[in-house]
Amino acid sequence: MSHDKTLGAHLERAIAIGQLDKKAVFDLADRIQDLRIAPARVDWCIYGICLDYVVPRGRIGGFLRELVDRLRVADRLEVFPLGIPVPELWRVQVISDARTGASPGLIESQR
Amino acid sequence: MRSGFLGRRVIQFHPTLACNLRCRHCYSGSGPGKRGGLAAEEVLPFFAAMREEGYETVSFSGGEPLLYRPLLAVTDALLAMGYRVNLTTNGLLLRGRLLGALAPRIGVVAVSIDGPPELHDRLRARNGAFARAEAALDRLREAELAFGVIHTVTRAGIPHLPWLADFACRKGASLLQLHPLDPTGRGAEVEAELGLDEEARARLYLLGRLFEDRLPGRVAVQVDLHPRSALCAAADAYRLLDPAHADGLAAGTPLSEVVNPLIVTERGEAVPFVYGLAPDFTLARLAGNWRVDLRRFREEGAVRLQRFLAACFAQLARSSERFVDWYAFLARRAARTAPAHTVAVS
Ligand code: SF4
Repeated sequence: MSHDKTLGAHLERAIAIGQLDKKAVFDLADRIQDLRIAPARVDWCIYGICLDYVVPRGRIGGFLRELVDRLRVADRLEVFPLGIPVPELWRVQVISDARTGASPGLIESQR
Repeated sequence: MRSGFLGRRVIQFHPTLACNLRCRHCYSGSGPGKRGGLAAEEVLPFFAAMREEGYETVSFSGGEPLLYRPLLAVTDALLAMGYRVNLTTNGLLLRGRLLGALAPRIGVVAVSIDGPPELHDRLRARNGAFARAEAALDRLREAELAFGVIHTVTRAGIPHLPWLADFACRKGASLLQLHPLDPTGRGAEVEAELGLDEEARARLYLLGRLFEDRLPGRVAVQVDLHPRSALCAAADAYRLLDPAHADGLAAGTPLSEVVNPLIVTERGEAVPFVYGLAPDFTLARLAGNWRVDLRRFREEGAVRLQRFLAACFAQLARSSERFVDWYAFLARRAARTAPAHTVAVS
């Protein structure tokens, strides 16, 4: 799994089980919306809206980093490899994982 | 050409409410006690006419479509008309001869999975339902049929979404569809307990984006939830809003250009956009003179539907919701405003 993808898996877990708090979730969601992601298309679907986006598959890691660049918080870029200037929980977790290649788990780093 | 927010022009066909499960969150209130289904003779002439109107795909839903007796005969007729046919199922009956018969006919099969075994069985109100759905996925893979996992997202299910993404990928699915709980049918009864609030919707949206990034390219991720701003910006995908239709549908406009998807309910109603718009926005009743109904829709109903859509987008623009399930939004608004927009049918 690529580095971005490992980090992505940690983020997924943090978002899913609520370790990323409500404020952080809204903050991130708002920032992604602010990018004016344009609806494009999806080839087929069973049910529901078929919108997809101009951000290409496999590029969300770089896409989020770009956000941080725009916000000019380069010091945080190191701390948040996925570029999400939100809570402490992320800062600790992500840097630990990025530097050691270990998978400490968010619960551990939350202590 | 796009029509509405869909890439293809789709008819969602709910031929029966009969089902071998009675899920706690079922949006259509289906279950074992419900009998009957639309007769093939009743629906096929209508589907033939709709093919002429530009519809390309029929997606069977339910109830459980595998309990619909004329399923194969109707499917064959639809294929002969040039439709592509998809099907959504709980997977319990997907085996043996029936699976063998479906394999050459069906484009994509979507199997409902509500989470890991314990959660799935609890929501589906049946012990062992997960094991049988999982076995169905394995059989679909063996039969080399394209299939997807469709998941009703509940508050209880959100912590398990990363698990679900891995599961779908491991099973060889080509689609992971995440659909927020519909607050209709029995879904309305469990909404307070299981429905998604604003925070849960934001989590779902972010997870969908991360899954798109992480899962291999062969797995399409579809989240039926979109940033409100993106939906507002895409309003012109609804061609019905074009002033050319202000006095009725402009001559020569195929129905599929302004109504997509088209829903055919188990009561034989043809309804625009979403199941929840029945019966108040019904375009035609298959048991009556649907040709006359459709003519009336072109002349009058389209104008009412246009006003309704415009009002929906206006409300969307004023709303403070960050992420919106567009079809649920339409259904909610219709429930509030239906009497003023009711379309007369024969
Ligand atoms: S959700 Fe699907 S499987 Fe469950 S009762 Fe409704 S139609 Fe049947």
